[in-house]
Amino acid sequence: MTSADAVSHLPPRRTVGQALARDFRTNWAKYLIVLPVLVYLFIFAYRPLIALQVAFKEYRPTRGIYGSPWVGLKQFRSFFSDVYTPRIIRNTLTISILTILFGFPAPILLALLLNELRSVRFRRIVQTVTYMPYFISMIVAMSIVTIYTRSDGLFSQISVALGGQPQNLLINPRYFYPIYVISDLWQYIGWNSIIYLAALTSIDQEQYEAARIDGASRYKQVLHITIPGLRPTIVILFILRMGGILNVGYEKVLLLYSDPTFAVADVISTYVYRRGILGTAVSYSAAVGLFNSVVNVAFLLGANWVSRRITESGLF
Amino acid sequence: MKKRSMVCLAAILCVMLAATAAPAFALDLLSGEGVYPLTTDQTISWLVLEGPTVNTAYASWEESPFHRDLIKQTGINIDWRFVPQGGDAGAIFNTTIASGDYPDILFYGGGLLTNNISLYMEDGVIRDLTEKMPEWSPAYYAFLQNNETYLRSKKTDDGKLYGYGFFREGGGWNDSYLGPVVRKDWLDEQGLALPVTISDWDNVLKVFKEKYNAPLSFAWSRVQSTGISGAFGAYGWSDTTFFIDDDQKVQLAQAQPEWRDYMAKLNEWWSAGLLDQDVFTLKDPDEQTKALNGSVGLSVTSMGQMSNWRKDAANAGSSADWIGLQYPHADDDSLAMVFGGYGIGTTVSVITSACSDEKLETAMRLLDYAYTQEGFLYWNYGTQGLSWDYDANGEPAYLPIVADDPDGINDAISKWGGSTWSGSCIQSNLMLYLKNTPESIAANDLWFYPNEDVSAKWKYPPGITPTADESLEAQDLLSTIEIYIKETSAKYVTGEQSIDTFDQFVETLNSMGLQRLIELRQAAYDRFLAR
Repeated sequence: MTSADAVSHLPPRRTVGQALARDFRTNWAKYLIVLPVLVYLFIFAYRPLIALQVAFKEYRPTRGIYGSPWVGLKQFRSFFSDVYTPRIIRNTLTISILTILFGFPAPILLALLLNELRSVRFRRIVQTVTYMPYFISMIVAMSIVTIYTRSDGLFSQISVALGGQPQNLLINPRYFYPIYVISDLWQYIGWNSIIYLAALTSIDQEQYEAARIDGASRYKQVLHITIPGLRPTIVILFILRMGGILNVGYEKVLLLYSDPTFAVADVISTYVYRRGILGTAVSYSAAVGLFNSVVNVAFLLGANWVSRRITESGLF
Repeated sequence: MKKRSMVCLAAILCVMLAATAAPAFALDLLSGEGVYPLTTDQTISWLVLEGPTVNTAYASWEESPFHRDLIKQTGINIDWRFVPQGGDAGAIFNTTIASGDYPDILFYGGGLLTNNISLYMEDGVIRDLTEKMPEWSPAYYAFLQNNETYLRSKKTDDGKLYGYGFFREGGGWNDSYLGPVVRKDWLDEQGLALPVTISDWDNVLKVFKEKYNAPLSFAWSRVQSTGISGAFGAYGWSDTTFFIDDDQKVQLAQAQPEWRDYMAKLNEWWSAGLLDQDVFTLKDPDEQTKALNGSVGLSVTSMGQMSNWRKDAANAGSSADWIGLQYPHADDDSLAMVFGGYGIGTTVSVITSACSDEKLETAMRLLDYAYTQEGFLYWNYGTQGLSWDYDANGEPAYLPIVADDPDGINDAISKWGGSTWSGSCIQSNLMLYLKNTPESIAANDLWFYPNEDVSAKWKYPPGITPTADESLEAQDLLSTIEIYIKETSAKYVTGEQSIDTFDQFVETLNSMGLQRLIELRQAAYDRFLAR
């Protein structure tokens, strides 16, 4: 995208180095603009990769990451022989898949519905109300959930009014996933729909006009114009979401789980938090984290591959 | 341990009578007169990860009277360092050790430091102070020599001295800061006596449930350690707890049949609706609300929380009269243990290898100050004439700048003194008496004095130094066992799992390496005893 300059047409062959040097001379300002990003990536994304070696060591605080002794795959072996490993992987996948199943289509639906609203005022109000919860800090949002699900909370009172017994919903292992998923919807549906609303504005209005002239109903218009128009956005977001399949944030689980729900609620990230931060098993936690990332990358690539096959669009 | 009710009652009455005046404790400390303030141009850096941190009223330590004036008192320039806002003490400790860029003095209490003392001395991070202690820290040295328990808790298995600890002047008194509380006005209204045994508790709970719809309820953090386990001969609830039995053997609380009885009783209360269905998710503020709303009449909490509940009731004009209640006994009047300790903290100030030989004397004198007569007063009350002075009885008393502080005396004391939570110092009992309300003091007295002989002897003592290998292996085993115990104990209480599975539960614990874990703990404890 460089501006065409006369010089570049003249020499037919050049080495890569020469080409780079020349390019740099002409476009040094652009390189300068990119520089902070490169530095950022190096410091925060690539340099830590070197420290990943701690997963293959037995970390001793006094010797640091580089000075600690190598132990090979010991940490991985100990992770896969841990009695809790199958359980935390299962819980992580369950929570993740449930949130994708319900949490992924919901903002798309909301965006489509908002798009159909005629009253701009009403639409704005609905939009604001639905994305408000996103701005409530996790701790406060989860305290609200905790209070509402108590034996004297709103939901228990409703069930009592309908003839049930007062009970704490949050300590019942059966209700943990519904509470997690529904509160997730409440927290993120509005915020996540914003990107779809933005994508909707880029759909050519003339297509709708043409469809109307052809006599297409509003439902048909959504089906044949709006959804295909949103498809690239949906696909990209879905692939990215799959890349985080083993990422169930520890904050929310940590704030919601209690002794009675440990068996269904303990996930990889809370496990790593307890072992690594509270228990200072640094190497062990790094190994689990590395395993986590590898699985995530596998899912990301898999989703991308499937998407290329089916929809012919993907991330790369 | 058995006690006759009469003796017990008499003891309670004596304590209640004595509660009006702070009991005097003989503290035999050396004077630092003539030594402090030192004349030196050396600067000592001191990283404080917990305890005597800067009160939130101040933006930096330069404004904080305690930190500012300690420099004046000792004549030693201190480069204070703290955990930054939002930082995690454990993480800071880890990164500090890993970076190799140590402060001269490091104050911390987490297991990261205390469980790894041997490792850090081996690796040369922490300096061995044994040789210089008598000369450069005479007050601390004398203090330790005067009390065998203190000395044993602050040296390594091979007799080395490495740090300056936290001690409570009143021994275990304030270590028993948790205990049962009850609404006296409800008891009176229903013509009930103070409940003494578990059967009495049964009765009170039934009446409270029936008349006030108030089940037994508590903030989870206040009971997950032990709760009222002593009445059942048990030593814990859901936190993995190792205790020392009468034969000096280390045992796991949750593997004992008495623990099973405890869980069975809790389950009985749970099923009958006498135990709050929300206990597992309740925090202090939630419980405080319940207390204010009159939806709890019998609870277990801390002396500080009890003060809050009383304050709330007074502000709301409620008749609620929360008072401390003696720990319940078994029906045969036995009480195995109560929540407590030796009055020795796990926190410690250590001197790192960053402190050169030239600076070592200065650093050791700085730390020794807290254990001199003058330093003891300073760490607890602040500067004489500014924050405190002797009253007519010759006892230290806070001056209006502390006593009438708009943030309340409770908070104000931590602006001037450094001993409120922990520190490398001796916490004065009088300070605690001045800080808390008389009712809370009376409650703490009740939880401690009648039970003094069972408040600490069961405890796996602080200051045990496992070897590096022992810590690593134990950590691995513990992380598996801890979760299993938490889960199963919750299931027993809610009835999700029948208490009849207890034998399988213990078997599973054994298959998770419980015996090995006990062996490791026992070995470290035996070495501790042999010191």
